[in-house]
Amino acid sequence: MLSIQNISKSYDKRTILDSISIDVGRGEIVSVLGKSGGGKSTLLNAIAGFERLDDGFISLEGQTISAKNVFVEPSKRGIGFVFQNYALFPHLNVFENVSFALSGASKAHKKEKIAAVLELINLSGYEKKYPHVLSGGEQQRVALARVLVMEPKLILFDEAFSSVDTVLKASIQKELLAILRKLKTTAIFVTHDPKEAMAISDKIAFLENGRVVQFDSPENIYLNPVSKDTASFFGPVNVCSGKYIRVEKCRLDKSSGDFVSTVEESVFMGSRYETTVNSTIDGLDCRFLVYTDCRYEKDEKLFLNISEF
Amino acid sequence: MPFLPLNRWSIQTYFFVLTLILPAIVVIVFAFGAQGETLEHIKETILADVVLNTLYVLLGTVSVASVFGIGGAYLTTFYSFKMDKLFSFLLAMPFIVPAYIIGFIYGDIFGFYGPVHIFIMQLGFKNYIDVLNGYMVVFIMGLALYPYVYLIVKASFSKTRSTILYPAINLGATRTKIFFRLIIPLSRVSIIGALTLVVMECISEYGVMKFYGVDTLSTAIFNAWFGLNDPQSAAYISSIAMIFVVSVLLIEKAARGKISYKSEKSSAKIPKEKLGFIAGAAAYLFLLIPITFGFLIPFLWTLYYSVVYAENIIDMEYVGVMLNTVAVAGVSSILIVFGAIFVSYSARIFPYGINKYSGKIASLGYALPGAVIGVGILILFSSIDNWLIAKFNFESMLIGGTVFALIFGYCARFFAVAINTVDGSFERIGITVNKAARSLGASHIKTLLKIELPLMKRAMLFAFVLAFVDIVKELPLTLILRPFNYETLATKTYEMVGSQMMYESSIYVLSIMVAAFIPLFLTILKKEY
Repeated sequence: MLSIQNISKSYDKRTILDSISIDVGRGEIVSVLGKSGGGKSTLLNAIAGFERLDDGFISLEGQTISAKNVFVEPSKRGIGFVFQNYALFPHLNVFENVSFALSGASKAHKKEKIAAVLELINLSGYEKKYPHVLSGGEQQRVALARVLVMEPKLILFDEAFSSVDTVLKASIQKELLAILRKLKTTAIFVTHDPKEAMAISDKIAFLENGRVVQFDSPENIYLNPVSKDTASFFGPVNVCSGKYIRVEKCRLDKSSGDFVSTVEESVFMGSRYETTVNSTIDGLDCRFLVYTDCRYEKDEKLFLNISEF
Repeated sequence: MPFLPLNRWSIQTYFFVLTLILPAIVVIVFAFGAQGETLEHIKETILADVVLNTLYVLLGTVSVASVFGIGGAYLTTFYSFKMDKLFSFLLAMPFIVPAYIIGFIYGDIFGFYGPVHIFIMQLGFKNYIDVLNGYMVVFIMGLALYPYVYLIVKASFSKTRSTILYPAINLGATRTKIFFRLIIPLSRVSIIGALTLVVMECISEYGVMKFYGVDTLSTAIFNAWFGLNDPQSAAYISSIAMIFVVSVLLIEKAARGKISYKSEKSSAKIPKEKLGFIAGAAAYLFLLIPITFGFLIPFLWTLYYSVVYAENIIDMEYVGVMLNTVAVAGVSSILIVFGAIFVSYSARIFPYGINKYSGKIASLGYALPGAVIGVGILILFSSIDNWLIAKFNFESMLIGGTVFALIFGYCARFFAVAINTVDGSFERIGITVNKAARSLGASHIKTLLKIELPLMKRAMLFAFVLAFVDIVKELPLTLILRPFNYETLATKTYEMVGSQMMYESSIYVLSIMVAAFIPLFLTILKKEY
């Protein structure tokens, strides 16, 4: 559906996107994840048409929309964009905001379509309200409605949940996901939050220094990361024998286990203790972080168990 | 990205910008080929004096404006005393009185028949104090231009935070040391910027120099054009004025360097220190000098004579002059604001290569003296007229000496005033609103008209008012380009003063002051533009 092939982009000799290739299928929800400055937003802007490419091409439903010598204007791509701060037009009410993309349509058609979209996102009755009186969650839904009404081939979300407080975040994510699934909409989310990416995506593209380091399902990217950076981005990880072992896969036992370990330190962290042990595995000295429910003394001998090692 | 992006928007922008800077280009081209006996005579006789006079006036004005501007900003920002808010407000008020009006009024007050001389005579002294000299010019220019320094530097001083000053106080630094070692260096960029404005305004000033008989580059341009009827000499002197301006801008850029100090907004503002009795009295005395001589005396003088002479001078001629002024300033300001929106929006949607800097390039006219722009336009338009006459046998000039030439002159000179406001407004709106509209299928034009312009109505109004007021006050450019017998408030005041009708001119002067107060009033209201 969306094909991104070897795209590159530089500013002042600084490479922002470096030969990126991603394919997104119809109805798929993909997250682009990475540290800030890693090129996530530039990638999204390139797909939307706010950035031109130095190299490579992007095609949507088989039609090239961006290449070195091809450039389809953002207004003609049929790609919806939900911005970080929603970018609602402050001087237009909800109805006018949502109807903005429907120029040329008859009044009756506009009314009917907007009513349907507002109902879908639970904002019926909000037509006359202005953005400044809406809550963060409501503003986000209006931003989504404004995009949905144009029936886009693809929707891009740039840090769409970063302005919503943590309590609301989970319910809004759930609601949004339900709408996207219901409409079978293809969507790309840019985020720096790995939990958010895992919660909403079919696939995650992990970007680092302008390159896609890994593009895979959330499970695979979490359990089988290809690099230390990818692994540690998603949570604490132990590295041993060239393998990345999630902390929650490790257990300590006093009586039996796979590897003999010596306790280095044990620190109380509220809900648990974080215990660091040293073990020798396949002739290599490795250091492991293990979550435990009690404190162990320094130099205490324990057994380390690793599931799926 | 290409250095010269070529698309419909950028190409139109280049044409627009080129048109605005054409007068300056014409002056440069004309000056290069300048020759002839008159020019040689000017070079041999007066040119060196004119350049030196300009330099002296600049140095003097910068010194006076720095003392009153920085001193006023320092006292009202860091110290508290009775009526300090009123003083803060009054210190900005000379802004509404153009320099040439302050000059004319003191010319009258200290003149042979003026109250000062009469008073001195009554005391039994026979000496006449002649104020028509360079010292008085420096004092007047300093009084008229220090508000630039005061307003800009005060804004910078206000950003000083406790995290910067408290450590210095803790380390035992005196107030004087803190002022010279911390406050001034931290506001260096603002001070340099403000003084650059002072220098540019000073180079441009014609009325004061002419009235007080001090020959500077500005008066020399007029004399060459109107007195000696020699466009080549006028262009040559104009190019020297341009060299002055360019040098000042280069010095500013070098002095500014790459410094950028960011104050921590989160830390507390410094509490104002209370002044003791003697220090307080000294502060009042110091602040009263620029307020009294820069605003109170000129304003009260104008108000008094406006009331006394109102019956005689508010007549159909006054109405005609007002209508002329409003018409020409109104039309020019509207064109300037729409031009600024066009150029700024073009740079906003295509922020690449030279297009990104088109607004800055188009602002060149603001840096140049009005007389230089005027000479450039006269040369340009008379060349076009001559070509039209030769080609199509027209019997008279078509564009030279018309209101069109005057409006074009104002646009070229005051474009910068509007573009700064418009740029700022676009920046405040942010680019995401634009991107959102574009991603929803709107064209650039639709995005501008339906989304961005409605959000910047206030900024457009503010830009209009700023341009309008600058045009109302502008004297040299209007004197050069106005059609025959076309009078505006500025030219009428100048002509009446020249015809010894000082008091009768007061209502025109008051009208200029009222117009000039509008932007200051809007700023005081602290509206967000």
